[in-house]
Amino acid sequence: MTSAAELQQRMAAFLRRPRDLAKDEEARRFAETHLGGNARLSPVEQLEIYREQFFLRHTDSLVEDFPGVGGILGQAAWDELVWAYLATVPPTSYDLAELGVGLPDFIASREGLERRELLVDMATLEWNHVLVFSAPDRARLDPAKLASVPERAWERARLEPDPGLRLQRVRYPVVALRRELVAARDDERSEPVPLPEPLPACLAVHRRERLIHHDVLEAPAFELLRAITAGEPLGRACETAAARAGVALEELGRGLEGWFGDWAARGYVVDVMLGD
Amino acid sequence: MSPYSESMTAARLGLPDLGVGVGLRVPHYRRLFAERPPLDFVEIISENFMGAGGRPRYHLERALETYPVVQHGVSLGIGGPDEPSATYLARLRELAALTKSPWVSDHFCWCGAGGAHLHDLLPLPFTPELVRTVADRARRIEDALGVPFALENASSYLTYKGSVLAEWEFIAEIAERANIGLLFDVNNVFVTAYNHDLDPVEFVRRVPHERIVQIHLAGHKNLGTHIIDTHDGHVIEPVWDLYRMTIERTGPVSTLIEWDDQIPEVEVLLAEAERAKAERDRALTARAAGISTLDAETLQAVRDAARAPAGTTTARSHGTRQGGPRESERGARTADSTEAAE
Repeated sequence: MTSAAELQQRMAAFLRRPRDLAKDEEARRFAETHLGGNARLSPVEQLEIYREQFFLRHTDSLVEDFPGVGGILGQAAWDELVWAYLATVPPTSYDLAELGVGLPDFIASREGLERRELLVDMATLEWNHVLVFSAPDRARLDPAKLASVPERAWERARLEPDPGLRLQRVRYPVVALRRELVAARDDERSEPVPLPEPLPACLAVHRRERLIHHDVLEAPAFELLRAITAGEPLGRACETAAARAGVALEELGRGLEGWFGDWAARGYVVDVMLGD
Repeated sequence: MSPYSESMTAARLGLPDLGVGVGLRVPHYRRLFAERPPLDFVEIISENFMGAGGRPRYHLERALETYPVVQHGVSLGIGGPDEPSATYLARLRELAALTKSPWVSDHFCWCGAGGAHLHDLLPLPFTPELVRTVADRARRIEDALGVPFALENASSYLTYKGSVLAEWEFIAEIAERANIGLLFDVNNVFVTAYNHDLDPVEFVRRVPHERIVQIHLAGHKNLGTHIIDTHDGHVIEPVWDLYRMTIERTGPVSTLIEWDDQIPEVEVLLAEAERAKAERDRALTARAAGISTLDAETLQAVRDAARAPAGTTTARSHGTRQGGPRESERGARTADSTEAAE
């Protein structure tokens, strides 16, 4: 006799199949063995209700979170991508908001996609939006605490980034493109949005006062922030950033004061921890 | 015989009657928080507020300033093959500590298997094996949450050949064994009865009324061959009849209008809540007088309405999602650094 757990395992696998279960012989046999059916719907037709709901519900959720990706692809290619994604990367979290966690990597590895770099940039941006949208609220760094750090301690100090901050290097102007695509989607009469040429930039995607900002950073500042958010102490972070940005350490040092002023004002950094 | 249950168990397990409330949904935030229309309570979908911050947390705080809040979950999957996630339960407990929800509820269902979460309320086989599993987990969950726990009868679109209990027997047995509450969804009774050729009147009669701590009411979509529990319209008349029948047996129980799709203006939702109050008052008045608002003819009409006609056709549905649209970045504003932040 099949235990409930075995039955559920098999059912869950059928419900994630991308095609109509009524046309699936294995599903039909499973349903006829285990499900009741009635005079109006056969067992496999009853099972199919849940399979269809699975795809509709998750497709809706991805449409909500990735309107830019959908806008670039167009309806037919979007549907094909989403169904392939759901079949390959099943949702594992109780939270539907986490459904898109694997979409940027899935797009990056998908064969035969046109404008793949643009799509990866857009998917990464939209996933960053999801992450910063409900990230924990943290108070800004107290200027008094910052001022109390002794000069000699800065080299080994670590800065704690705001959980609502994500850094992204983009190859295309996806922020502006996304705005146009969303506007076009909401206005059915609008012309198709032309896709842009590359325009690399370093972005800080940051939530401030419940509003998501896209701040454009200079490359050395971006790399320094990247090293800091990776947990490096400030001295080493400066070396890492200078090497990555291809600038001399002294040149990077000249920008520090201004960058720190901007970052403090925007709330990129929420705490400073002194080394041993 | 009196229709009212005789039991040593206190009505509603001793939990408060909050009156009539509505499900808190994103499109209504602005007006509910600004205008504060008279509602006895609101119900939140727990999972929508288990994240740590941002707009969801901000709006939860506005809700808590405005109305009593009750928590309802859709992702626990208490009857699934995997044990409920400890992380999930810890977050649920944290949220309950914040909301001061007098009870926390979820569904008699399973939600996934083998690490995949299907985000659906999948029906359980009604077996003694699952009675033991669900009752054991429910006890442990209530202990872990530190708040009274209740489970809701889910609507369903399939049945299992392995089921050996009626749904009401399954529900009653688990509730008794685990000593938990029931969230009784009257619309789900109607949907399930239609989909599986059951008697909805019998269903209402047979559940343990003293354990009902909350009631749900909602609309649904009838596709002919079956009904999908879409929560996208008005409560239909036979469901109002079943609601009064329930209240005549339970006495006053917190009642909630769910409207998750095709969400109307606030006025329409409030009018539905007013209707619930009127139906509830009518049932309570009849109960106090020892009579019923439902005669044999009305009960037969309810049974007839829940019987799928011959020769029905199937239309396709769309994806349903308990709790309505998730609050997401799409509904929030974004700004570029070159634009003035508000």
